[in-house]
Amino acid sequence: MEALPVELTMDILSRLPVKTIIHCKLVCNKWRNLISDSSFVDLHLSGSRATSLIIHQNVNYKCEASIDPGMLKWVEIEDKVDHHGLHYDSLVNLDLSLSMVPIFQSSRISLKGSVNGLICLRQYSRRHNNTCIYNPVTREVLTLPTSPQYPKHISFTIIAYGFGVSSLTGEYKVVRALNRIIRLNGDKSKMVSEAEVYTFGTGQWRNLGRLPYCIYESDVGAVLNDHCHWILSLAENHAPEKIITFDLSTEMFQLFPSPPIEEEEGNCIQHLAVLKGCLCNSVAGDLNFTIWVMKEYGIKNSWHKEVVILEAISKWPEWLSIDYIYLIEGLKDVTILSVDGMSGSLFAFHPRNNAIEKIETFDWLEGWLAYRPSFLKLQNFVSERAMVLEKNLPISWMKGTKSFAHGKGTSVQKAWGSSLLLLHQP
Amino acid sequence: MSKKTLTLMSKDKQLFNIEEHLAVQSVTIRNMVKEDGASSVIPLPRVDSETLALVIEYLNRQQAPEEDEDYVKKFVDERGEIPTLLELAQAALDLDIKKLMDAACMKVADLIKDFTLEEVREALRIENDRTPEEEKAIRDEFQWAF
Repeated sequence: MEALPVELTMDILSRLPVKTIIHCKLVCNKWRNLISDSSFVDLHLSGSRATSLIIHQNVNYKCEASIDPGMLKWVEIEDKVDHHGLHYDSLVNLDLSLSMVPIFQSSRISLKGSVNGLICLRQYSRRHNNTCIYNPVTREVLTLPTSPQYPKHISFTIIAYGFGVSSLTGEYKVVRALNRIIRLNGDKSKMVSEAEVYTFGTGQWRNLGRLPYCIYESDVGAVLNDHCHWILSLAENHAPEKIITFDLSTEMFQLFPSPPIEEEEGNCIQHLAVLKGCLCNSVAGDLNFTIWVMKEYGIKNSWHKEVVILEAISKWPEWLSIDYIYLIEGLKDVTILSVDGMSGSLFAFHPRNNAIEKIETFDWLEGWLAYRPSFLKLQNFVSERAMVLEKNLPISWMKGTKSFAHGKGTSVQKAWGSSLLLLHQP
Repeated sequence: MSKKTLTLMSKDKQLFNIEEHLAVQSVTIRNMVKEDGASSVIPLPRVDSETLALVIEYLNRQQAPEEDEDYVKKFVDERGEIPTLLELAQAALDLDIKKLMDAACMKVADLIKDFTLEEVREALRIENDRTPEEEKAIRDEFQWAF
């Protein structure tokens, strides 16, 4: 047999799990170079792989005064036909509170979105108000410049983030909307949203002005078809549609067709998510939990009630409070993954047989994101200052880390990052 | 009206007949037919007769579209030997038959994902040209993965 053509080699490699791909760098020099090549990074990104989640755990997350960043855990969901399981990997934990990872020390973080294997984090404390981008595979972190409009010492409530890439221009953008109260005549006041956007490589946030409508609390924008989607604030009850979008290419905000939710349900807790390539809107009512799916993007009539889970059905765990259910991901066999933000439980819904399966409970759950690992290098954004979390981590440094023990699998606690930050100047 | 037949010739000069409407699942053949009518024999200088026979078997399948996905999977599963799969993937690449190439590559990936490095090199006939220093550099760079 002759040597495999590059095209086939890349195709085969791109279908392997991330860790195996890294191991394959050791096979030969040709493979090492192939895997570092940007065309391989793109091919790998375009393929569909096992479902991963990034789980943010923080022992002190309920304490507002806490300045503990907590820990990020990368877990894979094994998608079997009749059963779902979590695949734990002992090395995919990053304890952000370690003194060896100084960038996040003495601050809180929250997950604000993920695209192409990059994770957007907000870092905040009295001294910090930063937006960071992190790739768990390459272990790179970059901190975006601060916005001059919203200086560090003023604690604005940042209500909505969106993180995506424009397929037209290939530009990565972080968009955020901030709520503030403005005084009207007399005693009246009104809440308004103001937006700003950061395009990677530009070095500065741009103000996009006041939005026509206020965005609902701190939801992370659901990104699909080059648009970020958020639900409007409940105060916007006169708006003809209840979803607002941000076009990542034109940077325009627009109302977007929302599902025909009954008026009495309109005050229920709603969230948006992207499941299996469709925009979904969950509604947690008094007695049931409904998932609306937009079958054809942008078509109002295509909103369809995919799942209605009655609280009364016997398989519904009684301690579950549906107000806190968030949709995260759709799996191959039409299973929908969701997380209960209150108890930290991860569930799989099986709409076909109307069954609910609890997969795992995460202690001290503060945040979560669906995640697709990628080899995209932050150093490619040449004008940004990407840093690599140091490579060599002595075993002794891992001993002091908090233990997040889990029943299943091998969740041996190990830290991921480490002592020094190597600064790679552009 | 009788169906038009094409003749494909393997690397080792064996001839295979296949109906044109089935052969054009290969984008390469489709383009050749479009360009010059492909009346004569189509040579496939990189595909041996054993592999070409498999490709012809695949192109001749009589599957309902909704079962096609499963059929392709089963087709490659039944030929689970890595050298055969690689030849098949190579032929599917040359002939531009995407489904077959995807399935063959996926199967190879499934087979090698639990291999040791040495097993991967052996299965794909790759020579280890790494120095220990280079190996250490990679292990250091991606320490979390080892």
